[in-house]
Amino acid sequence: MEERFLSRNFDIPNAHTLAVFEKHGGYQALKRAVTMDGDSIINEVKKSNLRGRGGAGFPCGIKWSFLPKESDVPKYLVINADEGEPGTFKDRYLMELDPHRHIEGCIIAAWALGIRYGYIFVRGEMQHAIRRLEAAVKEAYAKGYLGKNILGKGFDFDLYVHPGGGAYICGEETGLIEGLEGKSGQPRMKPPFPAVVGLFQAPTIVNNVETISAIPFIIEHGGEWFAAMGVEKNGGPKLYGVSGPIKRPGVYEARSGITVRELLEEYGGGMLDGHELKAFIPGGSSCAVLTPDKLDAVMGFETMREAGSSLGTGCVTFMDTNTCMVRVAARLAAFYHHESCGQCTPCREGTGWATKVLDAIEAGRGRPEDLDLLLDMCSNIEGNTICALGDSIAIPVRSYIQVFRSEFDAHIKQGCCPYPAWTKKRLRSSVAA
Amino acid sequence: MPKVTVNGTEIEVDKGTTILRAAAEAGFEVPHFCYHPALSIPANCRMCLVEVEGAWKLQPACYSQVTDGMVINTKSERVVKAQKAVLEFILVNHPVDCPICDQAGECKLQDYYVAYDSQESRLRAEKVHKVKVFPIGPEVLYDGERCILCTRCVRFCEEITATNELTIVQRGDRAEIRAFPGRELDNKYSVCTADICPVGALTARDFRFKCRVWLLNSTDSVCTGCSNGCNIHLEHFRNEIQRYRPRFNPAVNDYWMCDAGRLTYKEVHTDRLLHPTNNGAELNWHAVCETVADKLKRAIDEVGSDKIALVLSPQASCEDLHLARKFASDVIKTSRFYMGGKRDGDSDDFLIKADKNPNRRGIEAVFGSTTAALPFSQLVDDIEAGTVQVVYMMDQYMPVDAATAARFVERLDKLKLFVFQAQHQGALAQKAHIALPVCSHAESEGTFVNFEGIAQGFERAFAAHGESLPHWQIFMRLAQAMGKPFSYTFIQQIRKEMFAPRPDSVASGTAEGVPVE
Amino acid sequence: MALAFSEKAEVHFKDLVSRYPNTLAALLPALHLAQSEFGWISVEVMDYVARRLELHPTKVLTVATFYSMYNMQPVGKCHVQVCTTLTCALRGGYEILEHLEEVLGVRVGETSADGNYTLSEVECLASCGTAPMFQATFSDGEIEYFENLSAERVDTILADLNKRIATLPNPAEMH
Repeated sequence: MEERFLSRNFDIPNAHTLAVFEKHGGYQALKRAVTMDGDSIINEVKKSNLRGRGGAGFPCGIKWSFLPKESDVPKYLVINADEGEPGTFKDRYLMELDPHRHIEGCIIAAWALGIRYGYIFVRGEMQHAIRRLEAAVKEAYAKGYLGKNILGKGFDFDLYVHPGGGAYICGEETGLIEGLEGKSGQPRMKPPFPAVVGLFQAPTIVNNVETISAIPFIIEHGGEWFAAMGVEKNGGPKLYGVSGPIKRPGVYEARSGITVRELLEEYGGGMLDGHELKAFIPGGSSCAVLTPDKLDAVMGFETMREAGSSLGTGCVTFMDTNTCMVRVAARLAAFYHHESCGQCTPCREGTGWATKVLDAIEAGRGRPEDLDLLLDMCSNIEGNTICALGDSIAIPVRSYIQVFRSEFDAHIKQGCCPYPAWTKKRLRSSVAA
Repeated sequence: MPKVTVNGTEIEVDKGTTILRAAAEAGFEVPHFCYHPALSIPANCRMCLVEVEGAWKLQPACYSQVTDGMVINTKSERVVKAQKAVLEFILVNHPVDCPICDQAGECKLQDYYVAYDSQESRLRAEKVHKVKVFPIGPEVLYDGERCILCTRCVRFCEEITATNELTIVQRGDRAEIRAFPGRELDNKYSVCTADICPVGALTARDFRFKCRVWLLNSTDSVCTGCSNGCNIHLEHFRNEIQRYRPRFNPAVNDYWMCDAGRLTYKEVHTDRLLHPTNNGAELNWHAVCETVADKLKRAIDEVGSDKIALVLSPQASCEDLHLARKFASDVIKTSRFYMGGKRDGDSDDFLIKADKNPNRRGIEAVFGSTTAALPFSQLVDDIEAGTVQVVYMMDQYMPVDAATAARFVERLDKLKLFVFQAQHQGALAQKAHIALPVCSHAESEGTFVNFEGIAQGFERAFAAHGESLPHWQIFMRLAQAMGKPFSYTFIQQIRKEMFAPRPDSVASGTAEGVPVE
Repeated sequence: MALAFSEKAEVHFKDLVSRYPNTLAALLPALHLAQSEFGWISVEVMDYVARRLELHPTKVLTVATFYSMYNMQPVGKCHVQVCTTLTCALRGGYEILEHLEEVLGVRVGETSADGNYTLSEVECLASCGTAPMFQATFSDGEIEYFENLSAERVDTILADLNKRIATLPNPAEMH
C-alpha cells in the first residue's frame, strides 16, 4: 500500500483532537505557509494542478486568483461541506476523522488570500461532523491558530461552522451562499461570480472540503510534488468512494490514474458474491451511467468524459444485474424532483414531470412515445436553468434511456417491470409526495 | 455606446442596457413573465431566453446586459424551442381553467401560448394540486395552481411597499405564495399585486367574476381619490365602471395606485342625482335654468351680489372651476368664494395624499391665488351673521367636522336661496331649493392639477348618468338664461383661457398625462 | 404562554448571532436551536425567532418551509428517517423501511400512537459507503446516524432507542 495523505489520519485514534493531530505533524504546513507571501502560495496551488473536488473540477489556483487583492469589505472563505450528491460520502470522513487538517487548510487559504472570515457550511444532518469541527475550531482558537494575530503574524482570521437546514441545492455554491445568508437556497444568477460578489455581497472563495484539506500537503511538499502525484491537469492524491452491492464499500485514497476496475477490485473487494456488475456511475448520481465495458477507464476528468460520463466527485456507485435501470432512473429523478429549489421553470416543473413519466413506465403504464418525450424533456431542461440542478436530472435520465433503451422498451411492451422489486409494497420513493 | 445586432438589425444602446430592452428598442418583443421594469430581476421564468452569438447557453434577455458587438437572435430555432419548452413546463401543472379565470384575455400565459407555443399537451400525469381561492388578503385572492411562481408579487411587497407580507413557502413544484399565518396581504397597495401578476393567480376581489376583460372599454383617466392624481385606465362596460387600473406615468404614480383610490369608482354609480329639481319637483334643464336665473336675479336685487356665496369644489375640473369663476364675476358679480371639497384623510410617503380632492391645485391655478376662497367653516358663521344669504354650492362635500357640517345643514333654512349642483343625493340635495345633477369625471372630460402642480387631462368614458351635465355646461346654460351668455363652443376654448395668466407652479403636461394645450 | 429560550439556549443564541454581520444569517442555526428547545417549528416559534432576530416573519416562514430539517408539525420523540436514495435502495434501504413500519406499527410519515417514533423516508444522507442507514433525530436536538443496517441490527438499535427516549420530552408538548 502506497503512502496516504488525505486519509493519513483516518486510522489514528483521536486524530480529530489537536494533540494527536499535532503529534502527527499537524499545523506544520501552516507554520511554513505564514513564512510565504500570498502570491507564492497561490502560485504553488496553481502549480499543483489541484482541481475542485466538489464535482465540477475547476482549477483551484485559478479560482483563487479571481479573488480581488484589494477590497473595501472583508473577504470571505466559504467551505462547501453540504455533501449530498447521491453516491458521494467522502467529505464526511475528512470532517469527522481529520477536522484539524481541514481547518489548517482554511487558515492557509485565508492567509494566502487576505481573507478575514471563514464559514464551513456543513449539512445540518451531519451533526457528528459539525461537533467534531466545532471542537477542533475551539482547540485551534485556544492554541492561537485562529482569531487575532495568528502565529504572531498580525493576521486575523475567524472561522465558524454553519449548519445547513436540509437542502441538496445548497451544494451549489451560490445556493450555499444564500443559505449561509439565512435565505432559501436558491442559486443566484451568474455573473457576478462569488469571487467578485459573494457572501454578504463581498468577494468570496467557495471551496469543497477535500480541496481545502489538500492545501496543507501542497504547502508541505510543494506544488510540483502535488502535481506529480496526479495525472496531467489533475494533481494530487484524491479520495474515492465505492458503494453499491460490493464487498468493501467505503472511502479510499488511491493513486491517481487508477481505473474503475482497480477501484472496484482492489479497494471495493469486487461485487458481492452472486452479484454481477451491470452498470456504474463514476462520481455521483448526476453523472451519466456507464456499462462494464468502460471499467478500464481511468478515474480522471478527461478520461471519464471520453468514456461518456464525468468524474464528478469520484465516488463510484456500482449496480448489479438485478437492478432495474428504469427504476434507478425514476428513483434519481424523484431525488432531483424533491431537491429542486423551485426557482426556475424548467427544473421546477420538469423534474416532477419526468419523475411521473418514469414512474409510469416502471409501473408498466408507459407508452412508446414516452421515451422520446423524456429525451425531449431532458434537452428542454438542460442548459435552460439558473443552476446546474436542471442538468443534473437531464444528463442521467438521458443516459439511462440511451444506454438501456431495450430495458425501457421491455417495460413498455410487457406492461410491467421484469426485475425483482426493491420492496414488497412500494414502487418508489414517497419522499417528494 | 455599445452597438448590438438584434435579429440582423443593428442599433446603438446605452451601456448597461439589457438584451430585453435592446431588443425592444430594435422593435422585437422578447416574451417574459417574471421581469417587471419596476422590480429586481430574478430571471427565474426562463421565458426570455435568447441566443447570443458565442455563448454556449441561451441567455436570459431580462438579466444579461449587452456588450459592444453582441449579436443577438431572439427568433432562432433554439430560442423558439426553448420558448415552447418553458411554456410547456409552465402548463404541466397549470389548471388551464381559462373559461372561469378572470385573467383570461389579459393573461401573459394565454397570449404567449398562442404566440409562441400552440402545441398539444403531452402531459398524461396528474397535476400537482394546490390551494384555490385562498384569501391571501382582504382585497386579493390567490390561486396556487394558476401561480407560475414568478415572484413579482413577493418582490412588489419587498421592494415597492417594503411591507414584506408575501413570500414563497415550500420548494420545487410544491412551492406556493403565502403570507405569514394569521397575517394578510393588507398593505395599502395590495391590489397592485393582482395587476402585475402575469397570470390569474392573484385576482382582485372587487373585480372577480364581474366582467370578461375583452368586453371592457378602457379610457385614459385620473383617479379622483386624492390629490396625487394617479393615472388610470378607467375600464367600463355598458356605462358602468368595472375597475380602475394604474396607467404608467413615471412622473406621478409609476405603475401603481392605492387600493382605496381604486375603489373610489364606486362613488360614480352610487346615489346619483339624476334630474334637476326645484323644491323636489323634477324639471327639465330649460325650465330649471329659467327658474334659477329668475331666483338669482331676484336675490341680487334683494340682498345684493355681495351676499351671494359660491362654494368651490376641488373635486371639479379646472374647466368647471374656470366657468364657476367667470359665472361669479361676470354674471352674479360676486367675489365671495368658499372652499368646499372632502376633508383630509390618511396619507403616506408614497402615493396616498392627505388631501382627498383631485384638483385643489387646479383652484389655485384657475384663480391665480391660494387665498381666493374662504374656509368653509367661515361660511357657517357668515350665514349665521347674515353676511351670506344665498349659497350656490358645487358638490356635496364639506371640509369640516361632523358637528360643523350639521350646523351648516341646519343654517341652510335661513337662506333665501340654496342652489346645489352636485353628483350625489343626500341631506344637502334635500335641503336645496334647486338641485342640479352633475356628471362624474367618467362622464366628462377635463383637467386636474395634482398636488405637485402637474396638470393632467382625463377623457370622457361614457354617456352621462340621467340628465347630469358637467359643472361648466351648467354654468354656460345659466349664464345664457341670465342674459349674459359665454361664447364657448368647445371645451378646448375654455382650456386655452383657464390658466391665463398661468401661474408658474403649473407644469405642462407630462409624457403620459394629456398635456394642457 | 409566551415562548422564551432556556438560559443555556440563550447563551447559544447570543453566540450564534455574534458570528455573522447581520441577524438574518443566523436564521438557519437559530431555527435548529428553536427546534431543539420548542420541539417543532410552530407559527408561534417562527414568530418568536423572527422577533429575536428582528426579521420580518415571512423571512422565517420561507426558510422554515424550504429546508427539510425543520418540522412544521410535531414529530415523535425520535424521528427515524430512512434513506432510500440509490445506494441505500440498492442495499436494502426499502426493506429496512418496511421492517421499521412493521416493528413500529406505523406507515411512513406517521407517528406511533405513544408519540415515541415518527417514521420518514429521506433523501441521500451521504452515507452510501455504509448503506443502508437511517438517521434518528431526537427531541433534544441530537442527531445520530445508524449505518450498515440489517433487520436484526435495527431491532437491537430500537431496543437501545426505547431506553434512550424514555426520558426525552414529547415534541408536541414542548411548547
